[in-house]
Amino acid sequence: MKSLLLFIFLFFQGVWLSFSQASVNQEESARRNDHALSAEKMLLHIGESTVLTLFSDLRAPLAAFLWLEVESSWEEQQWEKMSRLLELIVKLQPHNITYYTMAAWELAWNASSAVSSQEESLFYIQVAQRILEQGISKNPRSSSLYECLGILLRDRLGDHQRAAIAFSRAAALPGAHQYLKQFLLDEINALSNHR
Amino acid sequence: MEKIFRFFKHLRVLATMTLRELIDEKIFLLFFPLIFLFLGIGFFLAMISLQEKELLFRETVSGLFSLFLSLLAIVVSATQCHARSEKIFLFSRGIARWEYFLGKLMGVILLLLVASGLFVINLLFIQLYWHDFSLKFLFLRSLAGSLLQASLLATMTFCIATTARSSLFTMVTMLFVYFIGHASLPLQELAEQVGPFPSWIEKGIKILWLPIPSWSLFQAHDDAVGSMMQELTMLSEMLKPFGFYVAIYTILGCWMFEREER
Repeated sequence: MKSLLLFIFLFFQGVWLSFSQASVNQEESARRNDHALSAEKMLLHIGESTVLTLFSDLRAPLAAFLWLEVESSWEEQQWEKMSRLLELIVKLQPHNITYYTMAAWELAWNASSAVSSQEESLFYIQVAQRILEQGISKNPRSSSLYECLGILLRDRLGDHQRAAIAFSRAAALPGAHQYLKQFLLDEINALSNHR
Repeated sequence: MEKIFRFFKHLRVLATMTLRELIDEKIFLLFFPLIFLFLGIGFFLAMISLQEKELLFRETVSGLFSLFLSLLAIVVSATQCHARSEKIFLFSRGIARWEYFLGKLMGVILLLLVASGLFVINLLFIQLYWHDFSLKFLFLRSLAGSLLQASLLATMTFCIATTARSSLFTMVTMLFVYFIGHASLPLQELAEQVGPFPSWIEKGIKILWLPIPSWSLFQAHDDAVGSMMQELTMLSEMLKPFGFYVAIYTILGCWMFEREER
């Protein structure tokens, strides 16, 4: 009886394993190979994982509370503090898409437009881009994140080629908006005009 | 056929008996202040926020409620299988040990359902008076995720309680299980960053980790908000691992409970 139950248990484990294996797509495994980490970064990641674990279900209320801090630093125009808070929020709630898109908006549009120097402006746009790319690596099936990245590349960096790639990926994912195909065509036109 | 009817009758009696016992223990006196507290905190944060009020309300309230429901499931379930005199009485009346196990478990799940129902009713009241807030599918999906997580935790707690000598041991073990389940996704992401590992190591780790479900499976992502079909797909994605783990732990728990005093 014991061995029968053990067999059933292992059988179901095997079935479940094959389910989860199938869901890992090729794109994800290719991206995995690109990331080689230094020891310092690894320690940082271990720390992040520990914090995420310890806060468990409290991560969502904590992120909401930190969002209020983001708003107050926006009012006081403390862009550096706001940038750090936004990075912390998306780490606490890595699968909440709205936080990524809002973070990108706050940094690439609000912060970058408010600072005086060109370098600082570019810095915040790049932070926003990095946050969106992080979001995509954690939520590879999110059309909204690719769309937001495309808009950032198009409007803030003028990079039509990469914007077209982002829009094409966004359009191919489930839940994509209809207008994304038009965005893609516009970017292709902009590229051909530029050439 | 008669056996099946008798089984369902036993299950119903045991489940309602468990729920009634918990109500007699004044467990609802704990519910209401906490539910009002969670809603109050969420409402306060949303009111002082300049934008994304609904997001802040949803995140705060659903996070706190999920934590409350999970802890409730663990604490209540851990004490259910240790009432020796009740067990002797019921077994002498022809109730099978596994029926007792299932009935008690159903009683706790019923309690979790009642708690979630009360919470949704409160949210509906809020919707009446706060016109900016509407109870969307995403909110309901995240509450459904919390309920599934808590129900699974209750099943696992019952399973562990069959072998544990004390309720305290069960609770402490389940708290570890709760945190390990939450560590699952961050560690998986860390491994992806550090890797790639040989596939046999990855498979080995996955098999070792498999007995404890990742609670991130029951968290509602806010991306696929849209059509009813998408919402149902997201919900069914939560139901798959739930069904799998509940089936495994219920069978295992019934079997261990059957053999407990042999």
